[in-house]
Amino acid sequence: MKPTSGLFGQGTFRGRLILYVALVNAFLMALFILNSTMRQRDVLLDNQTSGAVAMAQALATSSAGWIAANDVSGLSELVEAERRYPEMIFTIISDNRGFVLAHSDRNRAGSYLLDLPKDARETVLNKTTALVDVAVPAVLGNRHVGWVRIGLGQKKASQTLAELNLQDALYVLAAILFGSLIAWLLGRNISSRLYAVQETIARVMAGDQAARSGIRGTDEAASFAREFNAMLDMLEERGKALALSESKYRLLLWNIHVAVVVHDPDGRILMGNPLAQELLGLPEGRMIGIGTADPAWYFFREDGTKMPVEEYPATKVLASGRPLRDLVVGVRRSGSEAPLWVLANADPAFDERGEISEILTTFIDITKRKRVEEELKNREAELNESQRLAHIGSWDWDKETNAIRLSNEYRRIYGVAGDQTPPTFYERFETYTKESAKRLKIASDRALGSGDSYEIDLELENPTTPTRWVIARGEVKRDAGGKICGLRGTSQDISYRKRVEEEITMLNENLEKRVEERTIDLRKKSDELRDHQAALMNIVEDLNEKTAELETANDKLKDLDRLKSLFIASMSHELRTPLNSVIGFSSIMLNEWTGPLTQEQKDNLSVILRSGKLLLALINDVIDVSKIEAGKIESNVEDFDAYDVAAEAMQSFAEDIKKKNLDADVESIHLPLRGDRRRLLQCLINLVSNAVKYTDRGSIKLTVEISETGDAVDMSVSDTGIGIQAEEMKKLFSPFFRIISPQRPVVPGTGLGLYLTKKLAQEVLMGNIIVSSVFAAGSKFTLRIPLLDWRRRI
Amino acid sequence: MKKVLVVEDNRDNLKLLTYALTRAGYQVLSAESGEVGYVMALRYLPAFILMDINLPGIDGIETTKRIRASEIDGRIPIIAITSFAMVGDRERILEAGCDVYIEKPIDPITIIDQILRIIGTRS
Repeated sequence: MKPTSGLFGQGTFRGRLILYVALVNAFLMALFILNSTMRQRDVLLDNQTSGAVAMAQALATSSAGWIAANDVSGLSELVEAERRYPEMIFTIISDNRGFVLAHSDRNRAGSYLLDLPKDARETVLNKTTALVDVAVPAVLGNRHVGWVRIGLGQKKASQTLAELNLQDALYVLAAILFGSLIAWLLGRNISSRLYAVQETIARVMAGDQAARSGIRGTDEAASFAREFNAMLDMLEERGKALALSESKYRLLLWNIHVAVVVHDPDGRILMGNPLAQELLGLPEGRMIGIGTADPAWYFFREDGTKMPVEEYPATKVLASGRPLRDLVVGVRRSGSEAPLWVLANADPAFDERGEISEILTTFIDITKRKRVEEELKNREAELNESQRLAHIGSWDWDKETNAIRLSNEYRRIYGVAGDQTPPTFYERFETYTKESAKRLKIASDRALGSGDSYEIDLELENPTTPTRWVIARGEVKRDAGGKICGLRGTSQDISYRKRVEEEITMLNENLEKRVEERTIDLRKKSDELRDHQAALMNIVEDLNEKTAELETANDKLKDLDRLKSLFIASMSHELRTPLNSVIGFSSIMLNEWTGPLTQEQKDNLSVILRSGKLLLALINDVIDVSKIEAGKIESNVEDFDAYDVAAEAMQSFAEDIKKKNLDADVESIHLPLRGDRRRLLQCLINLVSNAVKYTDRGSIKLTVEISETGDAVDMSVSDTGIGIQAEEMKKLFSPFFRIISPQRPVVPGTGLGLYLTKKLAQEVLMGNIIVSSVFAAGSKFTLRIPLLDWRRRI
Repeated sequence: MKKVLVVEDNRDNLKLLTYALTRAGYQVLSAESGEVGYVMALRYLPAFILMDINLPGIDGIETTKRIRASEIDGRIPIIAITSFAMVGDRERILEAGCDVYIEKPIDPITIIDQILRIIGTRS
């Protein structure tokens, strides 16, 4: 529905009705009010004028005498009295010449009125809503003595008029509203009935075929609804009939055991039954509407080449207008590897104008048949091929008809050309030598008589082919009743075999000779080998002996090692026990527990005690070394502070340092560590001990700090002692190495201190020892321990 | 006078310990074997026992175990004395019930102070 024009053509009935009514209402009411207002205004003006005339006449009558007497003050009083009148603008009394005797505006008394009428009659000089101006002659007797002139305004009247106008406007509004309401109600009544029909249409369109409009009444909407219902009934009937015929049609197509595809004249598929859907590999939803040249599948010809679209059954029928019969077509579907073979038939259907309206194509799946045919063809080819490869020809003879069938290979073997009439059963005998033919005859006759099979070697006479020898095999054929009805058999070309057999016989003789020669050779070689082997065996035996010896030696070594361990263990016990006594008793005596001693006795006892202690230290060092070397050293992990260990190491030598008058200094950070405290202390004590031993003047300093690399702690003992010469440096850490200095006596010691310290530093503390020294100036031994394992927390 | 039991088969050592203990004001009881030591320990209830570990017959560990098993009133402090400890000996000695462990050589001048310091902190 197109809008006809502008404002009034659009919108619903209801809306348009309301708009029309409101506009008409407003126009009419406006006209009416304009008219009534104007009339009221006129009436009011007339009233005012007549009022003014009446007032002027009254004043003229009362003032005539005063005018004649020219009593200005009396007139002024009269004018003054008039001023009380509310609408009064001015009141003027003049003589008959226009000289103003009294004026409501006093200043103007004494002026002249110039606009008075010429005749002495009452005259309306101005009649407007703003001013009603009247002049009335004052007459005394019959003498015109002067004029009374009054000007009135219309303030109150205008006000009244405005109020009236407002009221009128409200009436108009009310009228418009009322009119619109009526129009709306009316419109609703009409449109609601139309909506009911509309709703029915919507329901039908939504699929509710049984929906009908239920409007009652005699108006146009009701009759429209009834006709509409009738139309729906008719449509429903037709729809049912159509559905019925279509369902029959579908039932037929859907159940027929032939794939059916219907094309429209443009070649697009209108419909395909389930078999067709399966054949083309397309579900129904995808099949409808696609063209003949669709990528979903393609046809190909019987020879396997792709079929152009022009040759498709539907396309051909469309072009020719004639049915197409029994075309073998291959179908390759998308997503499917195996092609299908179908027998296609296509028929055009014509409409009343004689043009093609549809093309009905049927496909019958002949894939299986096709496959069987191919299989048969392949089998035959295979048979021929295998006969060719095996040089076996076959034949088949029927006794009744004397017909003989020969295979390709048979023809080749016997030199029978393909177009040549095959020889008869008995003619075949002549191709062999007399002797062979005789044997074949006997074998054939026996077979026909008793049903036995035969297998004999036959020699050909004057063969036209390279074949000279064949193996002929034969067996009887029986009919359905079991009666012998013919023979069939094969002939295998064994010429090659015969030739080879002959050659082999010859070769064999040669070979025997050569084998004999080779055997002698081999025997010689074998003897040599045996000799070599014997030599080798001797070597192996020797090796075994040596191995055994080595094993024995090894066992002895192990025994020795055990003995060494045992020795050390027992030495530790057996040596310590007496040493215990030596040290213990000498210290008791030295402390004078057993009585007072002379200085000489004391000195001697001190030698005993010191020697005992040195011996004990030596034993302890030896035990430690042997433990380390045997890998049996144990590690006791403790938490401790680096400073404490350094201080303790230095403290152990406090007395010696004091005696030698050396400066001692411990410069250490507090560093929490976790590891074998006892072994660390042992190392430091050894280093400090050496420093004290080899320093006579100056100082000994023990520093503990984090190394430059930051991942280790450096514990350094530096002294100002005798220092170490370069050549001594190399041997410094060897066991029992002692610094020999001609200037000083041999310093007591075990000779194991540095060796043990280095071993402990490396194998227990996982660190190392670094030495730097200036000969005759001092040494510095640094024990460097990686913090990785030792640092508990920072 | 407080009694102290010394279980020790080495006479020299026993004498050395006797010097030290006597000087510190103890009466020294001695046993040269574990069996005797065990009986004496229960008979005299000494202030403490010095126990050599390497004894003929039942050793110091076994003796300590027996004493601990038979004790009724209180617990006599037992100080083990050994010349040479192999790996694991320390654990075995303490496990048997010894309070402390002293390695030879002992210093007779300081040993009593050392023992009293340890026992004192224990009790």
